[in-house]
Amino acid sequence: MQESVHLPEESLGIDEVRPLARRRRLPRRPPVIVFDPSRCTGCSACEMVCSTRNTAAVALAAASIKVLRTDENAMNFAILCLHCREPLCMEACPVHAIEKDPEGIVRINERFCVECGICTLACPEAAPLVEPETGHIHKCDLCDGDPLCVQHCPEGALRFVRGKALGWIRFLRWPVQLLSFMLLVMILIGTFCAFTAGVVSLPCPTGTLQNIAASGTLVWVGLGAALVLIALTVLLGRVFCGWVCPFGFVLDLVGAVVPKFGLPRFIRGRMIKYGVLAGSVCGAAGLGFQPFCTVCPIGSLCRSYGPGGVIKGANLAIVSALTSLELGERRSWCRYLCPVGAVLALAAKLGLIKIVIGASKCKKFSCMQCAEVCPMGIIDRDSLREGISPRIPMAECIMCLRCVDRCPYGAAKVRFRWQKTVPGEVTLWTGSGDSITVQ
Amino acid sequence: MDWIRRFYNGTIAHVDLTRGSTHLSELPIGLVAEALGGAAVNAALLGRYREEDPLVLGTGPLTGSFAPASCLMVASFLGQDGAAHHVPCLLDSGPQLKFCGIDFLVITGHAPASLALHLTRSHMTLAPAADCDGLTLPQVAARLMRPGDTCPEAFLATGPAAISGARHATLSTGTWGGLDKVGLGAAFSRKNLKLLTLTGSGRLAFGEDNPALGLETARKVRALYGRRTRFGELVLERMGAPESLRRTLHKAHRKAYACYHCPLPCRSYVAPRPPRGADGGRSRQGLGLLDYEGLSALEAACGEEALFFLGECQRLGVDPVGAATALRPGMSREKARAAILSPPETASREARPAIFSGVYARFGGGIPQIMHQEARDGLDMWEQRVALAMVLGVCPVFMLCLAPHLGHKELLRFITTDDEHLARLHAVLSSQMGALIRP
Repeated sequence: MQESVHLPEESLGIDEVRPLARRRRLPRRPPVIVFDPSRCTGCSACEMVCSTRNTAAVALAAASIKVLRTDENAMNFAILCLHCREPLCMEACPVHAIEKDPEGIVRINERFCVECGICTLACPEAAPLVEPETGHIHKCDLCDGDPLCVQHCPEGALRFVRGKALGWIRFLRWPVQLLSFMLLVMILIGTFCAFTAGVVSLPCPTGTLQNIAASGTLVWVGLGAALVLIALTVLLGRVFCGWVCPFGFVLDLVGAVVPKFGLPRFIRGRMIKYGVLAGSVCGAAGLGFQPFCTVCPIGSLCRSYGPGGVIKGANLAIVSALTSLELGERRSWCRYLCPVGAVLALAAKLGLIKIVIGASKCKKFSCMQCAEVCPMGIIDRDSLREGISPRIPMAECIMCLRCVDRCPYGAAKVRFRWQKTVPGEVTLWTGSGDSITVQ
Repeated sequence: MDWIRRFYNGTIAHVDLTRGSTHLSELPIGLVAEALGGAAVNAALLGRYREEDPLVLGTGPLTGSFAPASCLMVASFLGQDGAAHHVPCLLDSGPQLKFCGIDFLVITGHAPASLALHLTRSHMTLAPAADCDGLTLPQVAARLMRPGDTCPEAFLATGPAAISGARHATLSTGTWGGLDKVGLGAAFSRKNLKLLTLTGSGRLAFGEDNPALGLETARKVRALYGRRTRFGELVLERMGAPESLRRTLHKAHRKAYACYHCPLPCRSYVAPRPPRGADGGRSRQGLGLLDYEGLSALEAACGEEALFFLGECQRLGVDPVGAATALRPGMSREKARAAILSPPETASREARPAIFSGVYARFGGGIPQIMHQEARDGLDMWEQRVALAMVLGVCPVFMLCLAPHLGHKELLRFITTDDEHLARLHAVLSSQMGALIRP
């Protein structure tokens, strides 16, 4: 018969003895070493100098950086600490010996480390390296801000960066959005709508399609004007949604302040907007008028501020009702429901430009800031968690460039469609004659 | 010369293949004081074990240190004429031997069946290697890298060509081939030693100021060349290889690799186009390029298909210079394979008039025949530059082709900066180099 062991109630665990440090606000420009595999020649200079700092001798096994060389294909990889925003090693350490300092550097406190090796298992990069001879754990501490490996790398494959200077794009986008809002809602009232067309007319493509379906006649002037926006989207992606749309501006403003509670699953389908578009056009053909335009939040907003400063309550009510979707997810309307966005998404699929996240620079799971800021939620967190740079579906991207703006490592970039899909992607020919593509 | 101890572990390992026994002995400091290291000490050890068909693998004092291109391990054996041959082994083999805690490895006797010698910091193991017989070198590499097995940091192996003990079989460093053109592979196969793996996890102090000195020297050497210099092509150019060969290499180049702590990466990873007549040429198979003399010989024999046939030679562990005598342009893969496995005659590349052919063959017959007018400090002969490299443990290709300005004074500063010690080192070095060139 097994006897149960009675633990005294007053016994203290490590959480009581050494509680985890409270999460601090991280520096805006976290320091990190960026590894460029295309430049690495595998000379071991980084390992040598790192081990010299760790042990006062050349001992490759005692370095905090490990270069993996492959004889069979043209790639080298470096294992080194990425100083994650939320380090898994820190959470996993049973004696709380791993700390993140105010500079954002993750360090092992030698006094408390018991060399159990759990941190190496927890780290997705296996960055804490175990010295086989002694069992000692070595982990990069960025040489307190002046990494020797970076100094000694003859090819410049290692670069020490404190993030890039952030944020100039947002200082451009917000004024542009505000200006567009004022122009379309308060000055050129009704310009962007199928209902009214003033002297300057930029009819909404969805409205135009409904018009054509409802009237049964092809109005070439209207169609031509609608194609201006389509052409702009083919050239620059969905910049209308990200930079011009007045309702998008309202959603961005509201979304920045309201809490998020999530949306029910049945709404979260990116194909729904195409259904709305098809329904609107078919409805227009059957009903003889534009059914969606009566409830379109963009049109409603553009018509809500009438001549002489008259606010039209009915239009504002529609806008408010649909704005409440921001309580679910950011830009919920644009993601799942907007038929205008659906038309532009079809055009963006043919677009000339794209956004890429460079595999060699992207820090993937240790950063994920692009995924955090993306209002359309199209940057795949699962890919990042698996250490793969995600591909951006340009049909869904509204070209707000928040990811480009936020990426501390300069990995997110705007590229032409025909340029290499993911910088750093290499096709290799294996010994057996097969080709494989790696990032 | 006790201060030179910092550059050595102080250990000689002995492996008697006939008895299957291994043991360690202390490296006599007197031997190092008299001969410094590398080929000079190897020659002394060859003399000591002359009756037991010795094969000596040795390191120089600078092997593994912060001196540039400190990658060298010298493999010495007695040829059929009884003269000592010293073949340079590059990549990481020298440093890994040192980090296994062994400065010189003496292998005597003959094993009854194929054996593999596995060296780690704590173990020296002889294991059966019959399962590797007949395997190509990439297959041997794949076997060593099997998931679950401990992957060695470096390995030396013979290919299927060595089974017959043919003279043109070579010893390959990893899958990159080697500079052996004088029968080192045949010496290995005569001993039934198929494979030597090295996994060094030890440490060596070297000089205290070595990291700073290494950085300074590397920067000085690297500053001679542009960022985009392709050193493989530079070696070919300085060898006087035809323009067409350089163009072929330029087209096929994928990535540059460096040996241990070399600031000038002259190893090329190439993906050559398969020859038109060759079957199975469905994809471009990658190839590591180290042996530029072999490539030149193949180019002279079979033109633009030289890279492809070099790949075949490396897979099979055959000296490309010997194979070049049997190859013709347009051969199918099967015919080429059969031809290079049984060349009609053994051949070694002719030395240029400026180089004494006996010395050229004594140093492996694969070191590029390059001489620079601007080389200084009296060490301006090919033989002297190579002998300097082979004694100190620095890559001879680097000394000859890429850093002709680097003299013995710069290298000796890594060992000591004391004027008196330097004078003594210089005297020992001069006498040992002379003994190597004119034994």
